[in-house]
Amino acid sequence: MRFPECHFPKSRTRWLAVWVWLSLIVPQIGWAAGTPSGTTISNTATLAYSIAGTAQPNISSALTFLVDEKINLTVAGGVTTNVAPGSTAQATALTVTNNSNSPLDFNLAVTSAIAVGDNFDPTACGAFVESGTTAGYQPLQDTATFIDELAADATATVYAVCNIPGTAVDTNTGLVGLTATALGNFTGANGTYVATPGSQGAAIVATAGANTQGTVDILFADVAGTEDAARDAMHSAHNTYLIAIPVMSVTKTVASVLDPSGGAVVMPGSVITYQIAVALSGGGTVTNLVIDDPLPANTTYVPNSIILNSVAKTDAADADNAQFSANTVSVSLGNVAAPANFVITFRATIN
Amino acid sequence: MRIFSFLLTTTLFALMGSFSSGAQAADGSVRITSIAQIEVETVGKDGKKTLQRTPVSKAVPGTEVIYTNTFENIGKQPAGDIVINNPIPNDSEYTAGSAFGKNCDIQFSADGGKIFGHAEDLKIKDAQGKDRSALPKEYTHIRWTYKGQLAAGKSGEVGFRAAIK
Repeated sequence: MRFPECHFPKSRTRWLAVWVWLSLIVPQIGWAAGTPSGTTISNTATLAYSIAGTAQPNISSALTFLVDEKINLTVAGGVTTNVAPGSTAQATALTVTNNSNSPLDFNLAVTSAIAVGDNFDPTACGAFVESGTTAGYQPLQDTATFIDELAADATATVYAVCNIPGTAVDTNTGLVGLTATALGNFTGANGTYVATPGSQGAAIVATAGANTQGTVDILFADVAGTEDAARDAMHSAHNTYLIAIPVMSVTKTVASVLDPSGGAVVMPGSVITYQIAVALSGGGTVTNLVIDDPLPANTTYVPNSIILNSVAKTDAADADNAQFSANTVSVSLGNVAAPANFVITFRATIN
Repeated sequence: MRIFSFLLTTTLFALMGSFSSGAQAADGSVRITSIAQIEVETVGKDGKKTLQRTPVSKAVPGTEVIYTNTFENIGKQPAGDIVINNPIPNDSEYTAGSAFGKNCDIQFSADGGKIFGHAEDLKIKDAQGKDRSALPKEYTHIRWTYKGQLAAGKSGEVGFRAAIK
């Protein structure tokens, strides 16, 4: 804050110069990050008057002060990510929002040894910032380990990336905590923020004691997180790794039989419609799921009769995900997240 | 002695010498001074909480600042037709109902000081050009019109609160 003309008549104020530090009331009214620190706020009052009916020249009085720095940030988690035991580099996304009134850097730290509220501790954890190039965690793109120059009011996505112990069993949970710490150099004119692109700024120290006139003071306004206290320029939150093992059932039935005379007798020449129901329950993801069904002996496949979930497929090994080769019906379902259901039908003629 | 009594009434802004005097007219006239303060809660020895005013400090967004203009007749003749005009400071939002000033008619403007009116009948044009009541947060100026004459040696105080956006 700055009061440019601080001449007070006489020195009678000296006896008052005992400064008692007082706790502040900072009502949080609804402007997001607010006016940038270092902004000069000025107030001018102008007074018009007259003496004995004659208007006198206007007089005025002005004052100015600087807007100070409010350090505040929010780490948001609460997300559950399904994982398999023994899997590596499992990413779970959290966000870091800069609620301060200047840009800042944010250091990132991951806590995995959380004693209460889970069954296992993830291992070998790291934190990586979403680069914005491709959504979702991309190990080759999302390589930054701190948030660089996050603008006031802006939010960054951060991935906690951990290995899951092989000893974890279905429905076990493992908590992972992300702590962000605000960093920045307040070394500009009047103590304003100076950007440090590509590198982390210095640790921020809250201004202690009396107000510093003519300089941007720093006030911590963050609340306590899962791993940190209030007013420490840090905030933290948890995400949960959930061991989710999908359960798969495959059921093959004869849906119908059509004999050459239009009846339903199983005899040479009858056409049998087979139905394979694939059901995935529980949680988690099955990767590269392929259903292969070799034809029974003494039957001949009816060409182009494969139907997946009511969609007809061709027999060639082509772009559609079904084929008939080596006397086997084969359907590739790829990576499937449970729960899911598929129905495959095809026909064969009895020799 | 007059200055000393003035001091007593404004002890708090004297604390840090944050008193910021504006241009002062020649003798035989009026002067005006302005201060900016905040309210802080102090806990006394008896554990009782009280609000005290101190010079502006830790002025972060959301902080409510109390602006007080003190005017004083330092001349020998009474002063009349006193009108004080105070634009709302930049990056600040007027706090509804906070303007004060004894023996003053208080009017507001929401259009940069062109039209003034009392809070209850101040209108502004909406996007369709229709009149609607101006919201306190839209005020751009406050104007105090002192009723009657300010006798020699007397002073008055007007002010308002505005939060830093």
